Amino acid sequence: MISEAGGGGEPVFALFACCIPVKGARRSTLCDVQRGSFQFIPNGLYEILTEHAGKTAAEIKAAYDHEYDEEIDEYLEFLLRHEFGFWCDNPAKFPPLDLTWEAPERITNAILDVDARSDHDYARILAELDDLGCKALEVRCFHGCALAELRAILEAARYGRLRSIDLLVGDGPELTPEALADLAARHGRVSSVVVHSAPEARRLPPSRTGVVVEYWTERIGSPSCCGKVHPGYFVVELETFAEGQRHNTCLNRKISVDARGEIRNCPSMARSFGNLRETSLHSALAHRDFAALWSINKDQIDICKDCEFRYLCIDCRAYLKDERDLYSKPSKCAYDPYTAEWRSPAERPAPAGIPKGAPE
Amino acid sequence: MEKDPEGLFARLSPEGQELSPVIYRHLHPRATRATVLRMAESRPYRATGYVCGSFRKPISRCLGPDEPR
Amino acid sequence: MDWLEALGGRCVRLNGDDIEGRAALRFEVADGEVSLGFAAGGFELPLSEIGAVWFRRWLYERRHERVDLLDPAADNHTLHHELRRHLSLESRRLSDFIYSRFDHLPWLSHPRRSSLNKLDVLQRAARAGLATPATLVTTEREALRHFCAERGTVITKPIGEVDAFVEGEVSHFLFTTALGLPEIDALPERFAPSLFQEMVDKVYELRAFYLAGELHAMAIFSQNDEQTRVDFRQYNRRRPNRNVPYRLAPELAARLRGLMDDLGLETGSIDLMVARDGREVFLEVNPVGQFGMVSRPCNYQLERKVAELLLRKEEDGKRP
Repeated sequence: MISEAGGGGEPVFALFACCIPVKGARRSTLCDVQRGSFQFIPNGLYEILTEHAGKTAAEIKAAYDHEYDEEIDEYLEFLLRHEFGFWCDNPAKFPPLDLTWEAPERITNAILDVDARSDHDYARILAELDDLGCKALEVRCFHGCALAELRAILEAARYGRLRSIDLLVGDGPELTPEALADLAARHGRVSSVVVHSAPEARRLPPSRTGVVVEYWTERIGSPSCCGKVHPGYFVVELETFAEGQRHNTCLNRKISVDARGEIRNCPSMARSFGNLRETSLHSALAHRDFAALWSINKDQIDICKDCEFRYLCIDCRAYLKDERDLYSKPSKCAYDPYTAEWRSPAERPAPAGIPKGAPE
Repeated sequence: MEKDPEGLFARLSPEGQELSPVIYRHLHPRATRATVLRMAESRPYRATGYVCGSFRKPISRCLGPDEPR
Repeated sequence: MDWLEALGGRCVRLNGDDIEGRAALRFEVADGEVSLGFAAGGFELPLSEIGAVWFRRWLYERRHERVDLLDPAADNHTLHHELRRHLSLESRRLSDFIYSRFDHLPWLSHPRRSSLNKLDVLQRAARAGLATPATLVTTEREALRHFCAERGTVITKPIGEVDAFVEGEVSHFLFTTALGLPEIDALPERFAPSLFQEMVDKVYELRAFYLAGELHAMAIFSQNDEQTRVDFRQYNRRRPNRNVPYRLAPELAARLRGLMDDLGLETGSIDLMVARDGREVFLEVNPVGQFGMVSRPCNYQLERKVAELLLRKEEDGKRP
């Protein structure tokens, strides 16, 4: 246990700066952005940690007229046990985390959709992404992709600045575990391979370099499958947490090319900023409205603004509960922060089609 | 703290031991590979392993929660 | 590097490996013009275009020091050692030459100033008004016993850098180790010169990255974890230590700045410990310290600051 430091005066309880409380309508979370996990805490504890920060245990108890002494002791013991906080002699020396988010890349991530009718110039796409500084690419093949095509894409990326490539491909006879492991071994940037529409679900042990290969029975036939919201997709990371303070965690610095070559914020968005045949990624990005949605963060979205998961959740602006309201919550989110409950799968709305209304 | 009583120091010749500073008696054996990877943390987020750690969030979210993780 | 490009600079990365022969090296002096070429990524580097140099690390692990140079392997140890020694020397001569080609340029920081002597640094730190741990270098067990009686628990560490002896799958690390009286009593009366220090009763450690006058500090709480209690480099990946931003007191910051000026360093990472009695004790400076370890958890954006500094230096260097 961390014992109290010496020196004059009572030490105060201080949260570690990387443990950030986030308030929700019914309950709060304590997000440990350093260790990548979160805990639920009652809103009463949230109040103590924010309104009564920098006070000694005795002062906190006094603030509640000593009606909650036992609970307060329990809370502090809980926080200390999980190393969320410590006894601090000089809280002035421990500032909170600066949650400013910045990145040098104009585009940090991209989606490239491919189907049986696609006719992409991979070399050109990857070169343009490179120019924009893109770090991470996800390639989604809705059809059963030939190994040769995957190789072509990966080869085109070989000397570029991309640091990670995720592949989502439809099952095919060539896509055996060995073939995919080999592909990943030859192309160090591949960080995951997911084969959808497979007869059987399988998860192979991670390769030596950490690459995960998985088979899913789910069928991914179009972009409409995207936009899912659930805890498996929560990210507890300083970078994303900071990004979420002012930006849209899905669309920020994202660009995409759909299966027909249309350039959009993401393949599920209605508005196109040109087709690759005539338009470069660069000029699409330069369009006045391209980045319009990048600054819509969860604090501006109805219902989400009261949700304790709002800085952990990756937002979706494509499939909305109310298609006409850009600030409505994602349609595929089944969580209700006002009751702290997830709706059952039966009640969850069916995946919506591509929305008609273009963003203002 | 792993100490190695049968460790490297014991394998030194008498002269070798004479020439060694005290710290050689308290060497810490570790798997060689562990050191190279020590700064790289790969977290198993969903179906992806972010090998290089430079992009730590999912780019798209197509696969559902009902399927096995 | 990404920041350099984003801020309008152009840069290229040279690794120690590239010189060693992993990439095809071509270095030519012709008609007074010197150029360096590397096959990987296929670029040529005319020296006249380079504006500034940022030194990180160089040839941390030399290949010739790891492999068996003789075939069949090492029957003749002395010969093997001789071969290795010369290869190291050759490698060093080449590095020195390449550095000297960039001598006229602004560096961050120059490797010549980067080989610090720990004992020398401790002395300068004390002169700069910093608290330092009581330190003893001795060959005598008696002196050590006396030191221990005066200072309490004692630790030993290398006089130079923390290092490891690679033996195939296992590496033997020279981590800082605490010595109790039984270990001291087990020592011979006399031993090879060894470094000992009083063990600071620490509450947490500090690591501050110094960049051209500014200090960016982080506190490291490792007490909870037995593994990292004595040396936080023995990372515990399952339950990492707590790393949080820290604000240095102005007087401490001023003294650290004074030390860095005295050492002629524009950048480096400084390690300190905060003791139970509140003392902030200086431990060491690493001139090519990795700032990522401080920048990432604290979100200090040091990558951007370094890029900005390099570009400024390049600009300053261009002015007549």
